Amino acid sequence: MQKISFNELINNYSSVVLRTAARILGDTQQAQDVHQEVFLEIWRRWHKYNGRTNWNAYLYRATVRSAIRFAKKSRIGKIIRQKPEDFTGNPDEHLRTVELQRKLALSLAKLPKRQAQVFVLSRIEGLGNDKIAEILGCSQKTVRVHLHRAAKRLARRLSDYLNE
Amino acid sequence: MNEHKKINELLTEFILGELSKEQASEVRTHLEKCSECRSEIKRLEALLVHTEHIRKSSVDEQTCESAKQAILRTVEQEKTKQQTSGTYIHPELIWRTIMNSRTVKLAAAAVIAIVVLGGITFWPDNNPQNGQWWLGPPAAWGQEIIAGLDRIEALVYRKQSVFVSQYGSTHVSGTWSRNYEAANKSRKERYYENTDEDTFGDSNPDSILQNVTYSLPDGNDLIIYNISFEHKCYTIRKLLGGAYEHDPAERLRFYVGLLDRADRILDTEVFDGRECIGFEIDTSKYGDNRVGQTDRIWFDVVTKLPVRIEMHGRQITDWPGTTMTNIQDQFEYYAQVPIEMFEPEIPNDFINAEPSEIQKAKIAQEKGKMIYADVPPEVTEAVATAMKSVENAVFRERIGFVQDGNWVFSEGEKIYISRYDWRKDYYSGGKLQQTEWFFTNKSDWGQTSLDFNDRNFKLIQTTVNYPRRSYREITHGSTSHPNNPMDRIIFLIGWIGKADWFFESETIEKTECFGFELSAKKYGTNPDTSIHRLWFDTETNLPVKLEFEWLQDDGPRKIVRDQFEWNAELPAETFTPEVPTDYTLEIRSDG
Repeated sequence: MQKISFNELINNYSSVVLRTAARILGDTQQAQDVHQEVFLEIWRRWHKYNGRTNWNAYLYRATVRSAIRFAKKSRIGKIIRQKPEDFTGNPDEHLRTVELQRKLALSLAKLPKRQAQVFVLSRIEGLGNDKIAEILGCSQKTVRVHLHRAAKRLARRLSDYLNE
Repeated sequence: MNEHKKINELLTEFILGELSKEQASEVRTHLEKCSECRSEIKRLEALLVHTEHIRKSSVDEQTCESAKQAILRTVEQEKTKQQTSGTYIHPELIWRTIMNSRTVKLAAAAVIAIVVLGGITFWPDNNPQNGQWWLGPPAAWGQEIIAGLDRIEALVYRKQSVFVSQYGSTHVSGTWSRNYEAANKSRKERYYENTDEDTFGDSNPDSILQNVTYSLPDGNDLIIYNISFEHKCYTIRKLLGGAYEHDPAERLRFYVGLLDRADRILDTEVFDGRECIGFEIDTSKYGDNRVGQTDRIWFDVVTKLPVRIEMHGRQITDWPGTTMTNIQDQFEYYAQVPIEMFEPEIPNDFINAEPSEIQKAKIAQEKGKMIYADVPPEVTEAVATAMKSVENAVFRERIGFVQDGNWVFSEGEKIYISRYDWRKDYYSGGKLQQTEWFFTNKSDWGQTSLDFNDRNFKLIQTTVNYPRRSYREITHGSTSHPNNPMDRIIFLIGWIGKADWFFESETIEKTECFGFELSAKKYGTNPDTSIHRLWFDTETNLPVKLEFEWLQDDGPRKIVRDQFEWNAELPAETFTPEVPTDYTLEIRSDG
């Protein structure tokens, strides 16, 4: 299989990585940092890849991992940085959603790695169990078990916020 | 598995409609009688509804495009940086061997393919074939390498150790250093390997910079900068008469000179895609060394420059049976000393202190102990005397938080203070938004009483909001009123004698200062993480900058007061409320 060029990789997957990171972190700015980190890291080890890399799976794994690590590192709960003109609709509602998204990212960071990955790919990216099993290299049954355990833990951790 | 547990495991799939009819009906029946599962399912539903919202969110095309361009630019910059750092002897000669993983490092250290040349001449063939120059007489190519090394003004390499047990197992040391050497100066960076998984979960650990030491000449003396990234502090020392001159490539030349006495030539090895040829020599051949300690030196087949030196079999005191192998690799050669290589950079927020002191303080703080600096009494007296001379002051007050590892500050307020009155100007977007005047009604005071608790005390607060074109007035009584900002400053100054740290000399905002660090726990039930920093001008003994840093759940915060002007020539009307005539009154309250 022919190895694609780095520019082709960026063209094909840049927006997927950015959007996934943004959904996890709830912050476009931080998502851009993750995007940068993921691709820069790949570029630095570009010589290691061969034509057999499944980039779709690889980038999903790398993005989820990097975004969760980012959430952990930046202790996200920071002051909300969007300016009022950046969103429309009810500002309180918007703030609540953003806040909840941040809490979710922080809670994801506390989950076992696999559970967090499954939850993000399933509930945030909307991928099917078969696809997730392929990306993570496990069985669909494992995906189902991880999904439920992750959901259960997250729902408990976030119950105060979800019911507001 | 009991029924409750079994059903509970199915709840997420139940909500997502992924169960068979039978399973779903089993869940429904269980839910009717189990309140715990009913609460669980409510929580799960709320979570899944929320994630549904998240899934629909997206990032606009423009942001995607700008992120794409940003990474392409960064990669271009990285490429350029790699190509242009320093001055080249020859582009091919400058490269850094980057080991890809620990496995490779270990393999390189341990696996040696041996060509034994049985005691006869090391160089079997005077007419090398197939570009195998190393098979030719060392007099020829050795001179060529030495000529290349002669042109070297600066050298960079990595140094690390591998411990080898008598059973053959190896352990790579967790710390390593990158060394920068020029004729009369050096820089040494010490790193440790972070064993946390990296972004990709590979066994490719991050290296974390712990410490940098620069040794730079100053006439006959040597200035030594020690910057600790671990403890965020630095020291600068002068070693009188310590200046030196040495040839950074001397050691390499020494090795090249030994090659005609080498014990064996090693098969070519590939280090980071580069073909290298190695030689081994017993150390007893060049000095008063124990037989059995060997050195190996590897040269790039193409550039003929040394790329790796291994010193095997070094004894470790008190560790019988284990030897140490020192490895130097990732060599970079420079024909001119890059200027920036030896320019110490001390991050702004690092303090001037010994790392050991900081560590001691950190430990003491962690244990909740109070630590006290040795503050000379004349220093506190000098500050107190200077403060007594203060009639008025102007300063800026800002609040900051950490964003992406950097402090970000609000635009802040400009505060004017006099002994009794004060004023705060609030700015946003570079424009004055609001002014608050605090005016103490002195005429109501008794002739002899200057006591703030005087029942006649009145503080009139006038607030003018410019965008709203409105104002309001509040009269505060003696029982509850805002305090003059100067009170807070004076309060803190009262504590400097009990500071945790005293810094005799620091440059703050281009002013020579002395400073203090004071834990807020000294004067109240505050956590270890709440800290004041105060800096005073060494000439006037008046504050130059005051900081208060504390930790909130979502990260650190900091209030910074700076840009002080003491006893400024303020216009007389500074403290007189000035309300434009067409502004409307918002609230009136008589305290």
